[in-house]
Amino acid sequence: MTVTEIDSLFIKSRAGDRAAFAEWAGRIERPVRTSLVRFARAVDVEVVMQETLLRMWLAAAHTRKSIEGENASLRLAIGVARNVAREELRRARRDAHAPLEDVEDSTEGIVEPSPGPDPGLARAIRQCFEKLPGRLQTTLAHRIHHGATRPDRDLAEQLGLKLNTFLQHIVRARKSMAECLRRKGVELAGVAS
Amino acid sequence: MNGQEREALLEAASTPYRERDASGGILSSPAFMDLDPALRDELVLRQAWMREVERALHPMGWSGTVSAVMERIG
Repeated sequence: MTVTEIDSLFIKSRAGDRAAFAEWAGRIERPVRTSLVRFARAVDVEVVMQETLLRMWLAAAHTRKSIEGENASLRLAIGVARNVAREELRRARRDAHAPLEDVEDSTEGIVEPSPGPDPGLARAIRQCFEKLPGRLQTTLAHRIHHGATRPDRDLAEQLGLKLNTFLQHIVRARKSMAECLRRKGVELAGVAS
Repeated sequence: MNGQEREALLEAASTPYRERDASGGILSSPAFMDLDPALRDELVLRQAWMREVERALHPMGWSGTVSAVMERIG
């Protein structure tokens, strides 16, 4: 049996290897997020993504279940994500977590992990970021570097901006970057302007 | 809601930051709760776009989602 690259990363996570887990998470994030699009009108997909990754970290650390089959860890994550989404839908009625055993065989459609980092895409994004006007670049950089752990109202205050001004800067930065990327022939999913 | 308000609401919900309840559960963005269904379709695309940009600009190559989770697990 061959173990795929992402499953190898997930297996390393079992020994508490945070770097391996972060790399694994980056490789499965896109396909898992894509699998959740059908829930997007009902649940906050960002919540489902973060809860899914937390549960997968716990699963890596605390279960000894074997990882069998191609990209088994990705298929498991998609199953967990689907159950988390369903729990979100039921949250008002009850607060029960679905056991992992219920989702381990839940495959839907073609399941492929993201390829490794795309240097060309990353370079294009960085080039477009560098072209942003100063205030927009500062605001977007602050959101990117601190937005995972601090609310926008705090980030705005740190920059001496009103929250609405901060958000308008993000809007303008995103539109400017989307246009720049289009000129480079890059169409990121979700680019709207 | 005018266009500027709509854009600001979508952008507010696109951040990876999420509040937590007393038991540590992750809470939906308040901005998400104010979006109508069509805008929620738009939001999921915008979140995906922003995560790609974050991944490209983060020193470790982490999206905001991965950063939030790695902060959480310590």
